[in-house]
Amino acid sequence: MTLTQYGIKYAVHIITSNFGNLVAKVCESLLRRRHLSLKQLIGFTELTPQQVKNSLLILIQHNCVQPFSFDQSEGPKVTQYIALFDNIIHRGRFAKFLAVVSQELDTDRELILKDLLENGRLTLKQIIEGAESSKSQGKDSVLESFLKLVNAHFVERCPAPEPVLEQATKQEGPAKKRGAKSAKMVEVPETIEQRVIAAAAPPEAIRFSIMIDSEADACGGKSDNMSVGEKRKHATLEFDAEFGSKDEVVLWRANFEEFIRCLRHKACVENVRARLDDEAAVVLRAMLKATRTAEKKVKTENSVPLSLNTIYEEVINSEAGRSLTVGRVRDLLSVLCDSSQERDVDEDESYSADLKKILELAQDDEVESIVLKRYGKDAYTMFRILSLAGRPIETDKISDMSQLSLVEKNETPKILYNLWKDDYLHMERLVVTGARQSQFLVWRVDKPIIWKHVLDEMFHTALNLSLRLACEEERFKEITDLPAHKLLGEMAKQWQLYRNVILVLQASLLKLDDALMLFHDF
Amino acid sequence: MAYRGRGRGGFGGGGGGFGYATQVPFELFPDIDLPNVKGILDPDKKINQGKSEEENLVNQSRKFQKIWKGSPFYLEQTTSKERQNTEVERYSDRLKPKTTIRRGALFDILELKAFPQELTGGSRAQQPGRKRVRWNPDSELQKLDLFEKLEQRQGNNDGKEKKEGEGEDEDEEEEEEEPEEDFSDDDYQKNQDFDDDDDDFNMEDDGDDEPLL
Repeated sequence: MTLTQYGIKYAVHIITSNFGNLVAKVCESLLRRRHLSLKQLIGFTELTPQQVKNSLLILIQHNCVQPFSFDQSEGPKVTQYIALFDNIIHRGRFAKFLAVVSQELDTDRELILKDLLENGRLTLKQIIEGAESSKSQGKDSVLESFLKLVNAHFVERCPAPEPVLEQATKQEGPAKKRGAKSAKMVEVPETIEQRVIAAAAPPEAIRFSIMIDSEADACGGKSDNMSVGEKRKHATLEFDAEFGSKDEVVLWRANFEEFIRCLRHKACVENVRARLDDEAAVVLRAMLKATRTAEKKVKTENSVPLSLNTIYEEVINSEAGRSLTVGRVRDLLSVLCDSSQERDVDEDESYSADLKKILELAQDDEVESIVLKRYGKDAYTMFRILSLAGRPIETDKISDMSQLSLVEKNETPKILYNLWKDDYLHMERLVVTGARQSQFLVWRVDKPIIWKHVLDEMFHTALNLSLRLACEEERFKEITDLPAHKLLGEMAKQWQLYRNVILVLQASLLKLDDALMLFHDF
Repeated sequence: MAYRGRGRGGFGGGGGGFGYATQVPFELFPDIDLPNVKGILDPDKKINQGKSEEENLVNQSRKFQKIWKGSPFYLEQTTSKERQNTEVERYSDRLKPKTTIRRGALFDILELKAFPQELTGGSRAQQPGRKRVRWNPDSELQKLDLFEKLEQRQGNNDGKEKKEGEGEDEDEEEEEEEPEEDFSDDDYQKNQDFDDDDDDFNMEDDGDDEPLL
């Protein structure tokens, strides 16, 4: 997805608040110019070479920038740096990521993850040192916790320090529509950012594998080989060269992809709960929980197919689903799953939930609620008519369809004009040449364009909220600096006000971020 | 309809007459009444430690923010003495429980092998981590000042005498004596190549480039 104007501004603000204005200056240059070399960065930022180098080190350490180079037959290799927009935006979600781990696993694992989120990437030795110094945990229990995190795919090996990218013959653009034959092929990443991420990612065989013998110094010289997932294939020597051979240090980081997958599943479940009922939510949660590790990418349109028996077993294992019968589960599955899916004739039929449809309905609801709040009930009705129709409709027909008893017919164009002016509708003038020439307006909801506009507005709002938060922090600074025993009388009232202000602003930002994820990450 | 400056009303054609917009003082963030956000300030929805889920998320987000602000990862354009003073660990601090590993300066945390060589400077990777000093943005300017002084000194001694500061450390912060200015070699004193703009080389202006009226 292309970066929006306020998306970049919000990302820069996040980096400024986390790492200061020097690092943010470097990051902004990269976000605005896609990818740059060190020399170009020094030129654009007008900072000293050492300042730029330190800023890049910090951004790479925190997985916000990925170095790479193009495959060149002649001439020296020039390292390029690209900002990873999604990873920057994820920085505001770290609290949510910790909450996911405490729900999925338990609070002991939180400590290791917290250290990884704070420091970006760490060696196993550093992780153990950190856990031991902050809590009276033994080396074995830390290792066990770490293993569980890697097993659950919440922690992964860091990508290659500097992958080599094949020079693209044509400029990156939207992927061409594929025919029926080529539809089976794996879709080629379209943007340079996606290509870099794909090139840097360690192969699945070693992404979640822990080679204790290669990190013997961290674990007191243990030589046993603990592998998670698939075992590492020793035949491929290229892996060793790029991803931590014996003399190279293996670095670990939080796997944002897995956290976003969990939050996506949670959003689907909550939307089904709101749209249908608690029982449907229980069934969907059971389906997604059983197949989470089998999902290949985050934005899967349908969940991995499962048999009715497997789903039912998962459902009754959960506390909320013990009272459900097989018949009830089957009924709920027929509602949740796409009716057009082909099913096996035998009893062991497989079901796959249509996640794309669930999320699209949630997006529709979100935009409709914005229109309702901003433009009123009549505008909401018109917008909903156009959204459901999915085709251009003439002004008079909209008036007739909406059956607005309180609104006169001449009010309809004004309402539609307001929506069009703010980019919530697409308008076209049609000229009909007949006995006499006449022109009329047709309106439609162009979802991809409008959704992108809504996303940009959300980034804008998030930026404003963050700025207001920073402003309030500054305003109440003298109160927050006071020790607790001095907070008396008027000061105590001021402190309570400050606490409420921060809570409301920060919680609003977290809620807004849920909507942001719905449009950008899910 | 309130509008700025003179002129007719906008969309719809109405709103005639002339007038000026009343000047209102600009306020970036005006005071607002706080909404009682459900689940945050709602006393019924409490989960652990008497706090709601949102409240826990808010507190955790703020903790992260605090940690990064005080870490070596935080680089600002201007380095104040205050920020550097906060890095000093007091004797009393050793008893305080540490929530994270205290990883000193920036280069103590980073595993330099995992970065492109142009950022780590190649040889730096072999050095032991503890000896790496914290980066100071003013160091570049200090070096430039030092080189400038050395250049001046070299010019004055005509390259005969060896520079005093040559064997010393680059980052030395002691102020060196400014050499006394000697005007004996100056062109102004000698009056050589002095052009008072009234000699044979200045051609008389025949005025042919004047504009014709």
